[in-house]
Amino acid sequence: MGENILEVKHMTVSIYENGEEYKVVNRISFAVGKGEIVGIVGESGCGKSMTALALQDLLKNHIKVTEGSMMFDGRDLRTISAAERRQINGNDMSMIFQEPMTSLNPLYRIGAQVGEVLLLHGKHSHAEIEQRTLEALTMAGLPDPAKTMRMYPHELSGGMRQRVMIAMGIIAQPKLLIADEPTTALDVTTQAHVLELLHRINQQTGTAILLISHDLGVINKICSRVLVMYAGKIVEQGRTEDILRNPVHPYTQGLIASIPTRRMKGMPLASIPGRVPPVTEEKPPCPFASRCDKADKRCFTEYPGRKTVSDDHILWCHIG
Amino acid sequence: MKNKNEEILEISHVSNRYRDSGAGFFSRSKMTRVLNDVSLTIHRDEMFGLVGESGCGKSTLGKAVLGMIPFEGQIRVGGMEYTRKNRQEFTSAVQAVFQDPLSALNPRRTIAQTLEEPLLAHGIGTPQSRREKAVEMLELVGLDASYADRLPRELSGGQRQRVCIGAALMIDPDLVIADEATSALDVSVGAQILNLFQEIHDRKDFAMLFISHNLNVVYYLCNRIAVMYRGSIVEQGDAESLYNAPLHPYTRTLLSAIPEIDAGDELSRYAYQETRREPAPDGCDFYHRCPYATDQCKKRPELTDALAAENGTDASEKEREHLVRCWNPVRSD
Repeated sequence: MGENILEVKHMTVSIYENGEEYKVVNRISFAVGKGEIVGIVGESGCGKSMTALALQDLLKNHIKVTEGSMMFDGRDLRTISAAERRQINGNDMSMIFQEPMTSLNPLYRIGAQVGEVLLLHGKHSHAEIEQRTLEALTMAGLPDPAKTMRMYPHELSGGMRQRVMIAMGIIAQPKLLIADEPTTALDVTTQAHVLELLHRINQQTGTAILLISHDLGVINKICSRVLVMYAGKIVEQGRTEDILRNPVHPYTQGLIASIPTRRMKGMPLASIPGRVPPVTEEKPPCPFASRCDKADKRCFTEYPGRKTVSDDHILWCHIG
Repeated sequence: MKNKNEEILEISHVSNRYRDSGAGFFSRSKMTRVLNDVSLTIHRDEMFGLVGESGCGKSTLGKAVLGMIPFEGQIRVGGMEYTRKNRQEFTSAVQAVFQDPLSALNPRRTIAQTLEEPLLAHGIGTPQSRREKAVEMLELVGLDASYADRLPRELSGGQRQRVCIGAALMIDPDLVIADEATSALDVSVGAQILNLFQEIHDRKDFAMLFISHNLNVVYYLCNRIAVMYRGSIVEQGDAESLYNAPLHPYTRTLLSAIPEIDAGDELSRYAYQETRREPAPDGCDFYHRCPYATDQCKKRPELTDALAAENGTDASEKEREHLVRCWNPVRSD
């Protein structure tokens, strides 16, 4: 038993449509250590949400994990039974989504929804569930948890709803929390609070977090390691500082240069030409080759192999 | 030669309220203020940024300028006020680019038809000259003639936004309002659109009101910035001084909350802190969140030039003014 809570190896996720198979996630491998915060960054359509949904077994019927393994806490999520899987979901591994309003049931009070996980997994008395709900809401930083428990989702602001979602995610004290764009729908100041909260939860409970975001700034705030995804592939991964200071993959470089920061004032942004290819498009072995200004013949004919830049810094590119 | 200091947009004492029916069926309706006595001026050829969080009224102000909603006060574009009679003339002076290009484009019209429409509506040119101008515009916004006969659904998000920008510029407006024009786009595509704005602003003559929630984007693009909070402008000044030496605690809060990628670059210039207290109904709008609030803040402060009084600078130097609505503006030491 290693130090990793999650180890994904060669995972492929495919969409089946009109008799065709499209790979949205293409043989990716990564690991999340116990108590670690790892980020996945990429633009829309790069497969980062599909990765999260695959881990939680929430893929729609026409989307399937077709290859690879997902070891969670020593068990392969692909081979265990549905009953075992249900035991893990929500209990040892839980998930927070982008839009808290659509994830909360408007007809039930907050308390009932947050405590539902414990109720479903049995084993707890009602008094205990109420106590734990109160604790989870307090931990999630809601100002008046006892009152919040009796409220309905529409009575809360967006930031408060996201805190409720987080309370729901942590109530069972999971070993891994997957947060899919948890702050994208929020204002910057609220986002800062929520990120701080996730960081605190990680520090206090040792819950590992897999944070998915399109915003490198958000990743930089709390993640110790980051995976950069492009068109279904991980193109670069490493410690957050290394990736931000010393990006090697042309896509990572372009992504960082596209962000208008203070220093860029008055200079044109080095934007990446073109756009992320849709999943239905046939891609060259290196999915970024068609947008890459450094690409040569190899990028269109051979799969780029795994290269080690330094200790933790890994790259999939012919050029870098 | 056009006068650089000519005022393209003058907003004076604009307020907007709506009737809020309240939470329950029998609860009394009350008036909710969206804009509270907003005044600002944009000069010819200026890039003016308006920043604030959701619900602060920034989009409402944009809509008021476009004549899309009723308001109290006065808004003049190029010296002209919007009335139902001068609609034609007014819309030729001000155009808009919105957040979601797909819903802004008619799905059944080709790109060329969309681009030609403003000309048609104002009765400009012949079918042939309109077409020529549309193709010219496509090239200006970084597309080419081959896009003319395509439909919006065949284009990517970034390309659609380029078309929207082109359509807004077809009749050479004096003022373009861009409301969260890059917010729905991916980072790399958003950067392309920001570059495009910069480029065409260098080549064409128009002022822009750039509305966004992202202070970094606004700072990148604009030379003057106003920060809005709860329907009022709380700070306004040229981009450099507002961004690098903010005076209002709210502006500081906004700046400190931006997750930056330049770690160590004197990051978290201001430690992110926020206080919670009971709001003061007649006081400063930011009172309940302000870490520096005093009893004085229970009275509402006015928007004043904080530095003019101190340094004795000439108040007529409009370019340099730095307005702040705060009793105790934060001094950076």
